[in-house]
Amino acid sequence: MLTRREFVKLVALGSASLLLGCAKKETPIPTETPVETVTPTKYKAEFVLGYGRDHRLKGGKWGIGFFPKIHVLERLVEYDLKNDEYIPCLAKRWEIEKDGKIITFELNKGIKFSDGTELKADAVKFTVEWLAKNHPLGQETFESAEVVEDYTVSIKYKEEGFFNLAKMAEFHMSIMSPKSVKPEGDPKGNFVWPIGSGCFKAVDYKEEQYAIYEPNPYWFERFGLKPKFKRFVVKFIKDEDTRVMALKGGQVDAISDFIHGGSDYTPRNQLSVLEGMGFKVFKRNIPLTWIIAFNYKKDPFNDVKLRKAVDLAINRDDVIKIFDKQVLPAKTLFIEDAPGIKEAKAQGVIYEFKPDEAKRIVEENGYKGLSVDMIVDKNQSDQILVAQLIQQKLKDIGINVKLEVLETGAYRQRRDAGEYDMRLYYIGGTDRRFYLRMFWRFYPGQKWSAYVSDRTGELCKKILKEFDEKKRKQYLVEFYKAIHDEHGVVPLYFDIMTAVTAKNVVADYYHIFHYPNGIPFGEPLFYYVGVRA
Amino acid sequence: MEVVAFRMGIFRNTLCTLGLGIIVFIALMGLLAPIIAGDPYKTNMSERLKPPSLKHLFGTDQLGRDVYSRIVWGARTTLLVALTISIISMTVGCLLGAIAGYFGGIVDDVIGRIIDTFLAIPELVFNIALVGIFCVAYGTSIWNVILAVVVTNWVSYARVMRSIVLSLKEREFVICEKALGAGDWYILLRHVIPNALGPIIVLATLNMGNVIMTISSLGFLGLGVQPPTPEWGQMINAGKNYITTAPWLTFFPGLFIALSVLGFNLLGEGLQEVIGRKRLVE
Repeated sequence: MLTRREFVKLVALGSASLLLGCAKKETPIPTETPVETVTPTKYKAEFVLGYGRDHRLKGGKWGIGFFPKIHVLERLVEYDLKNDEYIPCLAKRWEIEKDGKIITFELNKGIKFSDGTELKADAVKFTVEWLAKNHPLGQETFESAEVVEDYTVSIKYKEEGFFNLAKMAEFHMSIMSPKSVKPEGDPKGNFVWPIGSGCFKAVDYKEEQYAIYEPNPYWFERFGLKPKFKRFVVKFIKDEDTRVMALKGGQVDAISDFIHGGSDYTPRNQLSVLEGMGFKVFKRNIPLTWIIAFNYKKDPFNDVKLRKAVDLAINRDDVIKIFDKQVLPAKTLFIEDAPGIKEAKAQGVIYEFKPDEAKRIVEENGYKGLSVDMIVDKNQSDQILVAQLIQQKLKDIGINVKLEVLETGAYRQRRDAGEYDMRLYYIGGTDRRFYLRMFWRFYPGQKWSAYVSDRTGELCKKILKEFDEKKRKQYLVEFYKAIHDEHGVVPLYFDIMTAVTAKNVVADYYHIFHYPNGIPFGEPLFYYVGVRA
Repeated sequence: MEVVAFRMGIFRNTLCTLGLGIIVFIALMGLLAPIIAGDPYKTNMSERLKPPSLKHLFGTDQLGRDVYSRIVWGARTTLLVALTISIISMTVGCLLGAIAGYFGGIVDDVIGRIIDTFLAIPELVFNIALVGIFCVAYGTSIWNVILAVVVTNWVSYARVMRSIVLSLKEREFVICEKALGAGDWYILLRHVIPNALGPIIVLATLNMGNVIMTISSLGFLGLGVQPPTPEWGQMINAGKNYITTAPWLTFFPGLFIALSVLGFNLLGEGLQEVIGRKRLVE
């Protein structure tokens, strides 16, 4: 028999147990792992991008477009701008012989093209030989290529120098399958369709209308990722405002700049507006600087004093206001991440705004009331505004600028014929083009030159030849100083690379501007985006 | 002149008065631009995209320029270009139309087919193509726009003039002149064309609105007057990216284009009524 005390104790214990039992159902024990109740995000099968340039998937003078070169093909090496270093991609290591005249690349094993065949040395040899026969850059770069072993290829270049390695990260040097041409593997063969090892495979294309891609399963497998869409549709929308309207209207899930840089981009002054409307703006600083280029071989801009006056008259902080401060003022020749810029800046190589000094130079040298012309490409609406601002700034120091806003064709005609005094131009590009554009813009005898003098030309030659990073940096600093002293070009602002996505697009900055293994990319990548259903 | 105007009933016609009032207002605005507006080119980046206020009546644009000043100076550009186009088109069109109508035969056939050919091509598309060609061939100039619009604009004058002359040449005064031994060119220039001017003036007035629209459209497409010269169509083009954040950049140029077109259309309609009534009285 239970005593009353024992009975009360038992009832109290039972009640407590019951209460605890009930409580357990309501509140999980904190030490236990919470049960995942979030349902996985459902994505649409299709991701649609609005883009300003045709992808030329059937090939053109410069091969396929820049976009598929990045998304369908891969390169032997990639470039890390911050560390001024070439890093492995398809190649895991390389050996440089005879001052860069020969570079032997050892390839990573197990990389497959989107058709399932393995990427071996013969594909690299084929690409090099095909480029040497068919591509202007390949023709001036490569002499021959030789398969050493299954995964080792030796490339012989026409010239020696560091520039050979730098070129291997360039868009045009992307490696393609020998099956991309007909007859298969023939370096003289006709290009038919790009087959690469990159994140997407091209499946359909209609010139000036669209390009359709699908995820390359071998690439996703290599990086342990799962694609969030089945089809990647790129619609070509030439007009920048129409692209923005297409995004706002929901006809596309995202828009992106032409990854070449310098044209067909989302108007910078629209970025803040889009951000305000809830769109996600991904932007990355790239070493692309908009400049005033002079016709420096011709009167009056063959006078360094006049070039200096123009340089000092430009308020770069005002220039960036045109772009709602989405870009940075160019007080150095390139962004700070570019090699040698910080060192040059520490040595006082800075572009300043000194209107009074500019005015004095103009007056002292008899340039007051001088009339010059400036040509602008009509298709770059931002540049028309920049040109008008420059016109006013130069008027303030006594120089009259006649603006000529020309159709692209007419603009190029005038530019190539040297019929102008000033024009807006750009130097640099996305990271991979840093050295290539240095060659095109500052190396003696180039078609698309911005400025060349004996001093800057010599320094440019040294930079592109020098393998030793420290020495190269030293030449770069000297080069920046020379351009600054000679006022060869007037830097205005540093451009950016952007991608804008709709609210329902899942995307993050890291995957848009990096390869899954951490290699930084100056061009936006779309392998890890998904459109919420 | 005033008596004549009164006789024609211009000032008694509401449409005419209203239209004339608007045109005079815009013309005065353009004429007095140096007095009533500031420098339309002066940029001020610290004042950019400011909304309308007492300091800047119509706000400021992306470069901090006063939109009111640009509108006022833009009236000069728009009206001058439109007037030049109309005068050249009218002269060329009337002359060719009169020759075709008066002489008839093969001359009429040739001019008639040319008119038909031009009428078969959409006007604005043709203008765009022509401005593009002229720009490549001769560089950018306001004369490209004038020439391109004249090429398509003379046709309407020629067509109307031809049909008027066809009826006029059968009238007694022309037959009398011929009987008196007057030459064809004398009769054409001295008697036929002056008698056809009434409907042509109405057409010219109505056409001015059309020309202003064409100039503005070309400006909007970036083919007209080149920046930084203020021109209404080009101002709308420059402001279209800011339509949600700074609507005044497109609103005011749009308003003045609409006003000027309305002004010329009202005057044209009114003149048509007045001339029609006068003819009935006669």
